[in-house]
Amino acid sequence: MIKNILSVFTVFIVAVTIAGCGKDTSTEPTSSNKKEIIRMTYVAGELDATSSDLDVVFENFYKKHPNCEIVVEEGGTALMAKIAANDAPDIIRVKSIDQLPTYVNKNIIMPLDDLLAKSELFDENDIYPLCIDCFRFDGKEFGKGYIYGLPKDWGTSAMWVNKSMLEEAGLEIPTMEKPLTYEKMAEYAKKLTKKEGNEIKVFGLADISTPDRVVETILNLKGKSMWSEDFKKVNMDDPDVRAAFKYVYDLKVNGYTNSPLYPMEGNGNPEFARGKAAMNMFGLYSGSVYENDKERTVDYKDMILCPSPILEENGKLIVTAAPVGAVISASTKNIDLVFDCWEFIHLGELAEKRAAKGFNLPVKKSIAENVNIASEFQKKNYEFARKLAECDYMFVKVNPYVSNTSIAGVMEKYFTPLLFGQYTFDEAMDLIGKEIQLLIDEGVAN
Amino acid sequence: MKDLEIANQKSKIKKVKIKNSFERSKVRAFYAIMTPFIIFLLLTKAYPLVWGIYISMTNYTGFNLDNLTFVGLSNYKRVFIDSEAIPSIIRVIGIGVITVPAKLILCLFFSLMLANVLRGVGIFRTLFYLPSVIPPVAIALMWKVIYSFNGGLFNRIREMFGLEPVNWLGYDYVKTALIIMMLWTAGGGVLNNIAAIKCIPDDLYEAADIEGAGALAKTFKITLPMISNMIYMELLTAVIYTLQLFAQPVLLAGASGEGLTAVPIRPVYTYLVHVYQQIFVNMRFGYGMAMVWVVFLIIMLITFIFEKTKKYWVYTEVN
Repeated sequence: MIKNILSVFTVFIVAVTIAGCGKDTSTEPTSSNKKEIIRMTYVAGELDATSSDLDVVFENFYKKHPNCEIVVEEGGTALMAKIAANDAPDIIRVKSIDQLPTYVNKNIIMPLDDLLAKSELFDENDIYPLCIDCFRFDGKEFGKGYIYGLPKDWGTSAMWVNKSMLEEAGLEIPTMEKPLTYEKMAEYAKKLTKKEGNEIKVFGLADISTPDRVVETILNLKGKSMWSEDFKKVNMDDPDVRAAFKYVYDLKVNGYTNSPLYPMEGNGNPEFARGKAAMNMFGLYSGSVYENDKERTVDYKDMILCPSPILEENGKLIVTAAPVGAVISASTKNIDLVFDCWEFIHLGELAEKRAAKGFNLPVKKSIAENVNIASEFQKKNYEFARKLAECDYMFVKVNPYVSNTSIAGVMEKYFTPLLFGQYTFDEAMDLIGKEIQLLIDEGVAN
Repeated sequence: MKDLEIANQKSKIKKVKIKNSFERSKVRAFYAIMTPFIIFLLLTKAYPLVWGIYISMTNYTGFNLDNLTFVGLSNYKRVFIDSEAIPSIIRVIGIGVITVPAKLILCLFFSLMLANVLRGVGIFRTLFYLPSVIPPVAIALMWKVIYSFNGGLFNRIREMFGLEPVNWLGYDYVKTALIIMMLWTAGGGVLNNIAAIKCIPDDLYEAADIEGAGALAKTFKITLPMISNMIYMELLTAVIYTLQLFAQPVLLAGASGEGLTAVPIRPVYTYLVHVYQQIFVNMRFGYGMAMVWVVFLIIMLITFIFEKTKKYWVYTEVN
């Protein structure tokens, strides 16, 4: 009898303990004042150049929407797992060219055309066309179809050169009127590289792009591509494709640019600022990075922002861009509220705050024209970037059936061993082609 | 007499009844208390296991849950024809063949030294144990700086001796670099071993002293056999840990990609890295799950072999 009582009492204690591990509901808002949560994968600090506190960044948004709370969630593989579990955040940060095709083709995100048509802040004539086109996608090509988002800010492809190093080597500084060709850039990289034994003291060119990205850029400028018209085949046997890969291979295997064979500590920005790279394939944003580099040894007057390379001598300058922006999940519950938040970030107050710092160009031309940048160095670069923004542009073609991350992985699997002499060039090209084709076939089947 | 027998029998029946009802109430109480935990275990462990087996037999890509196709064992067959899966297991076994015995020997060596009661031994115990409590991410990033081509510690030492810097994270040396990094945490089992050594009865050593046994003889005839159970446990966990090697190669030698999707250079492209690539980069969830189950079966097989051979070299009170 006593033991039965004890048993029941023990069960009661356990049950109460487990129940007590739940939320404290005494302060939980009632249904009348329950907060609407907006989940996003932006980091507060990249939205507002002055604060990384969410409450400060969205202060004015909260005044308009007092029952709303914005929470930041992790991106990366955690994001993909959430999307797969049908639990995507409301506002998803994306790299337009790299990631938008995957999201569109898997119906993860929603088109914003109807919402933008009703928006008072969206004026298509006041927005750089590239900014709209990089988030306009029809399933195969950019610049066509529905608009899925906008960049938070942007800059075109460009490159930095060290004026003193080029002059010392007897090389011309590239200008808007006379940019480098890809061939010339390779020659420059060779002449500017300083090697001691097997150590590279100064890289002629710092470039962290994956080989496939460089190859596809060169091919697209020629009007060609790694991909067939319908993106269902990879053209690794095409002589132009192989020539483009050979171009990248020659730069890397000889140490004229960074690679796993000749690694670079940073992403090119620290190296350029500290005189360890003569040319750096980055754009306007790097100017602010150089200003904040405490170990910078290169003088500002030697840091020249130039146009990205062109295909042929006297050819037309065509810029590219792959801005970072955000889209809205197709499974969002409160579309109007989430769009308000998205609009606040990309077209409203936060866009102006970001522009004021001059790190990158704003999406709106009217904001770009009226930005007042304190630093003379960055002001000069900003004006140059605005000129580049008016040039003709293209987007590097992306295969909608296979993600860029997968392709980058294939490159590292076979291109890196190629650099270390584990494969011949043709073997590596064949293996890359087979693996990518397998990924495409699976993507098409699914 | 007969009355007494009947009374005894009734008493026995009463006792048996009491015993049965007592046992029943004990069992009831046990399950009443355990039920929440059993439910928790089923939901968080058993259900994902069963779901994982199911997914491994489908063409799940993360986004086609409403359009799954059952593919049977084809994902499992693919593991054996995939150009990277089997080589990556062989690669990880190659790393394990060096790291597991080396770690074990180093750990035992440190333990035997540090089991002595000497002044200051506590500091050394802490120092040797410390690397094993540092998170693997921090360890990998720290060693990445040490191995850095420009200005890394090892290359600076080489330069001091007039030698050229070496690409420690390149093809030729990355495996060595990874092994050195893994051996740096060899002191992880020191405290367990010292505890086991402390439990050895002193009279065994006294008897050995009387017999004229030297230090080496005492170590190999008394100490090691008496802690062989601990050694067995460490050996088994080291083998399982090595087969699951993932974060260290990615963080140390990741050549591209971001974070854990970085692809490490080929000599340290391990099996679990390949699994991660299949699931989170190539979105081959079904195939990735099949690969996970294959490595699970390998681990089970190794554990079974260890258990069966244990009786030949692990000392227990029974044998």
